[in-house]
Amino acid sequence: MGIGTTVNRHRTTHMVDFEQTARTNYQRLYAFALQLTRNPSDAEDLTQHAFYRLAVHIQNLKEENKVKSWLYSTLYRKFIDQRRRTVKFPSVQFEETTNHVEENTKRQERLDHQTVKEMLLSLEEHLRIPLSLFYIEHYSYKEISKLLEIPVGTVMSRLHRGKAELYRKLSETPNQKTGSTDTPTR
Amino acid sequence: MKTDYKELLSAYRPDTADQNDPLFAQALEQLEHDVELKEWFDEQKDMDAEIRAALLTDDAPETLLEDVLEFGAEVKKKNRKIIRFFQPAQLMAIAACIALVGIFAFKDSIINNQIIGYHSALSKVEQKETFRDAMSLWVADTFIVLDHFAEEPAQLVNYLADTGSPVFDAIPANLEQLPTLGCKSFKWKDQTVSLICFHSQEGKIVHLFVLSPSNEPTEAIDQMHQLQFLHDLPSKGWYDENSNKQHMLVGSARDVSLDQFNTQMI
Repeated sequence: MGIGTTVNRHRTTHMVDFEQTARTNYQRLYAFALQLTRNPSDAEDLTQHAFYRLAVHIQNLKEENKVKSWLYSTLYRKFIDQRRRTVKFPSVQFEETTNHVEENTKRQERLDHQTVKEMLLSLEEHLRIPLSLFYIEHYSYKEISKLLEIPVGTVMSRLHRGKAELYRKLSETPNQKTGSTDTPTR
Repeated sequence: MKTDYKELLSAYRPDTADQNDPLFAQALEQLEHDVELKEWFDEQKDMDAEIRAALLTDDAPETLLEDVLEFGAEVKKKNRKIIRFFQPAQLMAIAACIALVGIFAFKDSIINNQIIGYHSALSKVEQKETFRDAMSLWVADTFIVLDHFAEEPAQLVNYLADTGSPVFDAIPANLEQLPTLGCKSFKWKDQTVSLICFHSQEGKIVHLFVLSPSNEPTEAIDQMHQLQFLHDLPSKGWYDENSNKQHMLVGSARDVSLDQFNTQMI
């Protein structure tokens, strides 16, 4: 027999604000979608899909702190589902996304950032996806494991191999400022 | 061994909860003793910070947020329309129409037995001196039409609070876990009483009445916890001095077990 709990706990439910959630998460969600699809247009569609699902189901989502992982999970499942359906078709090549970068961005900075994105995009999917979640959303290995539904050990191994591969690629890239440093190796 | 540490540390996020994760403890300790590993780790930390910063530069299409907000608003509007269709006022109107048809169809029987019986029961409830007696009689003799239906106590509490009816601040934990049927607010001796109906484990109903008494409680506070059978129904309750709220549980049948709810620990 336990002591009763307060009503205030109940009153904190139904507080998920769609607009606030969209403003806070759309950029990183798009960045993740871009790493999945390697195509800006598909990434935009995936991001919109995730937010559309959120708009429809927002009344059922009662815990605000779980909305972000719900969005990522929804987006990832949609990506997997779409890929399953289009598996017979050749994969779409990554398109340049520089047209979206602000005009006043310094050329060198843009190149650095763009190079990092392109190098990550060039990794194999099984390394690229956990790495994207690690970098973009700063997710822990446990969160990545849960979201991608793969064992923790596999996440660890993929993060390690993915990073090593990414560092190697970046160190080989001219004009990349990180290339001049002694990058970590295995 | 060093590769194992490197693999672990590849997943490590500095300045986060990872620093308390036992999985990383040994590898982090090793950094203190292994200069080469520490150097590798520091370089990795710098690289990761740069990569992360690069990936977080905004290159989402300018129209993406606008589009998302636009269809978000559309879906919200659509949801509202659906909800409006089921709003209580309309449901009440439909229920009233059905009731009228029923009244005309079975006029004599209803007027003689139900309505007169209902008002007669209400009048008897008004005359009862104690909250326990009145609420037990209310459950025993009247057909209760609920104002609002929901399966979660929180939704009913919110509904009652919004209508200005008294709501509980705390209830026994095992009562709170029961699914709810609905709620109602009504007047007893010019005071507002709220009622929440829970589905009991016996497949019956546990009624929880809450009242903010305008005067002293009508029953000795120390006796409220005692289980009593009035009008052949079990009842027990409690009084919250801080909020001046009187609570009464009444089972819908004699065999509803109220003993399981510890009202003394609240």
